[in-house]
Amino acid sequence: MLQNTRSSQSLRRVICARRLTAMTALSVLACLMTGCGDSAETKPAPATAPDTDSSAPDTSDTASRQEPSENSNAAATTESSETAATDSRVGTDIPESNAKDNAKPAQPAATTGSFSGRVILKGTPPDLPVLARADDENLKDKEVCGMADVPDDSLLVGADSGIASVFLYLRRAPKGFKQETPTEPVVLDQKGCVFTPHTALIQTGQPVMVKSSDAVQHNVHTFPARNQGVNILIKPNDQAGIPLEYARAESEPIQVKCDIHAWMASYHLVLDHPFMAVTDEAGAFRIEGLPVGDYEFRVWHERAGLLERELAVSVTGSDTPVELTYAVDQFTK
Amino acid sequence: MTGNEKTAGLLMCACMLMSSLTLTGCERSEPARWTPSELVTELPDPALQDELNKLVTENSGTASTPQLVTQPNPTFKQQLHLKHGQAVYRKRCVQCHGENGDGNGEAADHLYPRPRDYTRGIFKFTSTPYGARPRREDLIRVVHTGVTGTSMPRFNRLPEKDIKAVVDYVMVLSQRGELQFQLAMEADAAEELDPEYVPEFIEDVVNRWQQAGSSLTQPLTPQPELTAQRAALGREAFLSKGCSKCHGDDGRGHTKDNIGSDSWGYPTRAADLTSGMLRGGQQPIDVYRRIMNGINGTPMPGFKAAFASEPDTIWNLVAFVLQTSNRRRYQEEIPAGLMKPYDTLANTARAQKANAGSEGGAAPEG
Repeated sequence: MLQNTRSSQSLRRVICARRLTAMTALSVLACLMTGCGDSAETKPAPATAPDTDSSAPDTSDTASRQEPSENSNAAATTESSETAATDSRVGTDIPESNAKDNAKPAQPAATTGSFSGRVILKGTPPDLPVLARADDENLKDKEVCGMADVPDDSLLVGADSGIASVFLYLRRAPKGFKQETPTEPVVLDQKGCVFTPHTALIQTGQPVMVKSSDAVQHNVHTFPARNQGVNILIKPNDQAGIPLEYARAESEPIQVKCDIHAWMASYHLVLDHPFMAVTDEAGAFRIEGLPVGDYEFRVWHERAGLLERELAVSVTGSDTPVELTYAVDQFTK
Repeated sequence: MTGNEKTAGLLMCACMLMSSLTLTGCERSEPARWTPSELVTELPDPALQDELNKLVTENSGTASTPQLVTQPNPTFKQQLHLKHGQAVYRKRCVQCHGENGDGNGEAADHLYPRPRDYTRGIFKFTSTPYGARPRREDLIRVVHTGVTGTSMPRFNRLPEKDIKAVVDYVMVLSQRGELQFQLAMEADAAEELDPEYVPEFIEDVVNRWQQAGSSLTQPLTPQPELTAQRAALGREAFLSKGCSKCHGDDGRGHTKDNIGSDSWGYPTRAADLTSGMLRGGQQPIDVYRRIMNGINGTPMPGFKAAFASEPDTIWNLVAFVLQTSNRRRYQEEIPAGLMKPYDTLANTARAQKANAGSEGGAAPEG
């Protein structure tokens, strides 16, 4: 019996080999009858034909020829997911403009203006529990992290309902804008098991120093989409610091974490231009030096994600502060 | 062979062929087929999806004409090599790692840890710095040795030709996935793929993979003899330099807050070093690289900068980790994990005790 199976297997192998090489009429028939994919595989012969694409245009041609099968599938499975922050604009008094391109200064570098205002919360801010209680006996590294309660900084609401830590930025530099990379390093410190500052604005190529003022080890773990992520252990009280570098602009602020103390988080916005701001404790922001023109700003918050994708802003010589109001449920979802 | 036998043989052949095809199908019944990732299919605009898929196909080919982003316009020989790699992959890897290399093969849901998803370009056990792509040799090595303590078996009996081909094919899948991921993130953020910026994304993928080839990390100091004395020093460093914060005082990682998440979105824990199964390899240099560079895509950080002024400490830690890892092999009984929250003062006390030469063990104390 054993012998039998083995021989039938070998026989099958022989036949398979024969089918592949000689392609007898019988095997073709069998293949057609059983729907063996071999015929399917041989069909797109023009695409599989090797050695034809020696130049780039040729390859793209191949690509477009092959596309429909994959794409029809893709289209079929697409779900129309709603885009973030489409109807989130509440009570802005920004002059509406028809700008489709966020980079169309009327007269580049001729005159500049600024964009300023406040971001305001509508509703009662949620009561967020502290992240690390000083009286928690089981707190990790209690003698350092338990010096004081570590508050939840993920939604800071200040005077007159101003929301802190909201990023406002242009995704791309205005056309024709030349970046002058600042040489001044951005310093990220860690004190009492909290990243300070909680948010950082960084330009590509700008030096970043990560320091520690704590007597315990921390690790700095970045989660960029386009840059190379790092995860570095920082020595206790490392004041010399460890340099980080971001080479590419990110499309959104990225999270920076400490895995040892899992509550520690901060956010870096990395862009290849200086037109970005983050709101202060009172929710105020100001971006200066913008060439006069029409722009589309993005507004982002760590709890809400993108609040605005295309906030139309017209920069003229005179600056009219704006008020951006967002409902509290956008921050508690 | 008589004519009759021949006819009988042919008949039998026909029968066998029919039955084998109807019962089992033939091995190559389904041609390989790559599909766009979820990030792509979730894009609201179908036209944008098409554009993205076209770009990915231009650079990575299709499943029937795979090519490396780093090696456009492959020669006929290279194409054959990759097709061979694909055949090996579809025979031995696809069950867990999936047709797209996204770690979603049929068996994936039943495995812990899950099979690696290559499509971010992130591989855990490499000889390159944290965040960098792997060297080809790193991938070859993993195929050779498997990943101890996981479902990844060793394929050291495969012919060298097959291993090289399958690794190159894995690199095709990985580069394709990475490009697709980057473009999908951009398409999602910008709601378009600006032709002005697209080359940047391709360039980035190419640069990252090409740089990996020359970023082999070497130990800061030559490997000394890993003596018991070094292991004792290593233990001290283990308790005082931050390792025990996640791995626990006893190296078992049995602590309540030893839970993080990895780059693929799954929960992950600091390893139980007493398990005897160091996933990144049991050689001193393997352990050294895990400590120096960290482990890609996980909370394990690199200690290179922290130990820059005392590079020998890394070797001490290696000695300690290997000693800990081998404890079971020497029939040493390992007490159950502490399951105790951290107490650095106790750590220090224990470290001092260990320093004084007494075998402190890891008894819980107040």
